[in-house]
Amino acid sequence: MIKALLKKDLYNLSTYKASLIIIILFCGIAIIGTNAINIAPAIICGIIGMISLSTFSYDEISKANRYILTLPTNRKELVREKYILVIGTTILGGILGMVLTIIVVNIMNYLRPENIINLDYQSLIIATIGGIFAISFLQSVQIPSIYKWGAEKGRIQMFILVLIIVAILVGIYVLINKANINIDIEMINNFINKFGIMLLIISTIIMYFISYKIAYKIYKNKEE
Amino acid sequence: MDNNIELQNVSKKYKDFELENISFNVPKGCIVGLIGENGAGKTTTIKSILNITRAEGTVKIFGKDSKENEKEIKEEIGVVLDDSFLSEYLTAKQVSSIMKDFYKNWDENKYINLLKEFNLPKDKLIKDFSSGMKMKLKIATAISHNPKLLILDEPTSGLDPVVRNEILDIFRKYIEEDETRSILLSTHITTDLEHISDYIVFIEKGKIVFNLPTDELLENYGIIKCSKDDFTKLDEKDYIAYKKGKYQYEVLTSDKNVIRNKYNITIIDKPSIEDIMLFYIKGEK
Amino acid sequence: MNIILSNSSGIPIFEQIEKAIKEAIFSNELREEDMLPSVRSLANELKISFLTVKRAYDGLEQAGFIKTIQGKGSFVAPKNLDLIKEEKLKEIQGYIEKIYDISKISNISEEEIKELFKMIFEEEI
Repeated sequence: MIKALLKKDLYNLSTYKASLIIIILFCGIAIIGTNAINIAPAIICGIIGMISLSTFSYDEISKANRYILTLPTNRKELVREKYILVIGTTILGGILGMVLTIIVVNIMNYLRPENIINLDYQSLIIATIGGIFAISFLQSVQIPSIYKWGAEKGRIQMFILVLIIVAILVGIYVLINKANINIDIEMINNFINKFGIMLLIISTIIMYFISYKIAYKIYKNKEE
Repeated sequence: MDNNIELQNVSKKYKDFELENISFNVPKGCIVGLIGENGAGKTTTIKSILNITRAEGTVKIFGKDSKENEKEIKEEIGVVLDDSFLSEYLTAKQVSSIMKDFYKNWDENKYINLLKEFNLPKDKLIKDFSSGMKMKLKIATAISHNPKLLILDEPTSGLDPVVRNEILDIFRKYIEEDETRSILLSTHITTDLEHISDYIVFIEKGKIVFNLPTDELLENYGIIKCSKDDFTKLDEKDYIAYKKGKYQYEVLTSDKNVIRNKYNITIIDKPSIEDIMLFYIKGEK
Repeated sequence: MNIILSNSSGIPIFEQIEKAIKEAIFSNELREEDMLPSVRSLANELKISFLTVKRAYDGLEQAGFIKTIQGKGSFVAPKNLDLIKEEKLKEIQGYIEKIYDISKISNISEEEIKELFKMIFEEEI
């Protein structure tokens, strides 16, 4: 059943084919134009990840969920499918971004042998995972808010929510500073270098998981 | 088990509307029409049957509890909802590839044949279909897994008479194919029901007003047209409601033979279902 | 077989169906063991309720014109001459009642009617 739901969403998204190609071309040019090579995968993955959320709008326009609940499936599968779709497209976007960056950089190096760009694969991977982390944070807030308030309204509520969460984080930072707690910068740097990627991946998974639990709880009792 | 659907005391409370103790059956082999004004509770009733909305009371489908055996039951039901479908941005062909992953019994050949029969294009986006075509596609989608039960919410609203008749013929054919099948359809276009339904359930303000065989309504009910004097002679038990006019009284009775035998009244017209509905809603009692 | 239904005749639809099928049986258009259309298909064809047709079939079965075998369908019963005679007698009775009504209104005596009858029967011979 999840397969059927995924098919429906991917068919819906296939109407984006043309604009997606334009976006990717644009990103390719941007990589050449600026030297912000490491940011490119994050941007592409962000765009694709956010486009996948537009399937909520498609569902809303056709009141699709009401109909789908008359088929042999249930609310749990509906929510689960959305997370599989969103996480899948986001990861795919990250990989696509990395591949694209590598291709563009190699073409450039071939065309301009006098101006070789050295690609640091490790920082490219870290930047991509960092990008996925940032986007997963947005999505984890956005999906439950869409279930709560709808795809159109949800967008505004999401920005408010993100602002609140950022404000809380900044607040905590300020408090820590004020309390004059001595933080050994060196130690943190070492820690991130050692466990950074793992930490990002684990927090991404935890965020998605908590978000899924909340979204299901909201949707379980929603009127269709 | 002679009923495909059994509703017992189904109730649902909203802020501004309440569905109260709805009980009725959809017998095997029968077409049951659910009528009522917009907002009377038809859609809520259908949503409760399908477990889309959580209502109190019990709903049994094919003799099984609809909440406990939800997936199993839904494999055997075909549903058409007036304003809701998978997506408008799909082609009929893509619909089939999606539905075959939902239903174990999805019959792609049957679906393709239905598309041909209904003159529906396979590769055009649904959003470019006319409203009649959209409805035919929804019906083709609902019957291509050979369900035992069809549930349809307003399948003919907003369509022209020719298309409406074509659609009624599809339903007739569906039920003739296997006489243990049933159809439950809600509509506010009652003329459609006179020619297709076996029972009519009339809902008004969240309550059932009557649940009667269609032929009883059409054969036994009558509209008496009489003077004020004649009206005052009528026993209150012998009529359901009346409308007072300047020059005549119109009175709805559930048994015109009783009136003929008991009173000296000559004009008793045959009512349409719409007439009967209007007497219940607007008539005085 | 023709089944022509009128909504304005005042005769209930199920009676009209019964009558049409009986006539088809009398005229040998429907013969013994012939299968009748299924209740649902006749209802669909006539665009009326399944229950109306069922009522007509039940009536015909009770009167002995047809028999229904579960899961197979309804068939014309073996011709029962008594039944036909009874049916025809009923019909004749209806006409005689009309004659009676007319004679009452126009003051024609029983004797005169009997005379008329005798004349018609003798003419036959």
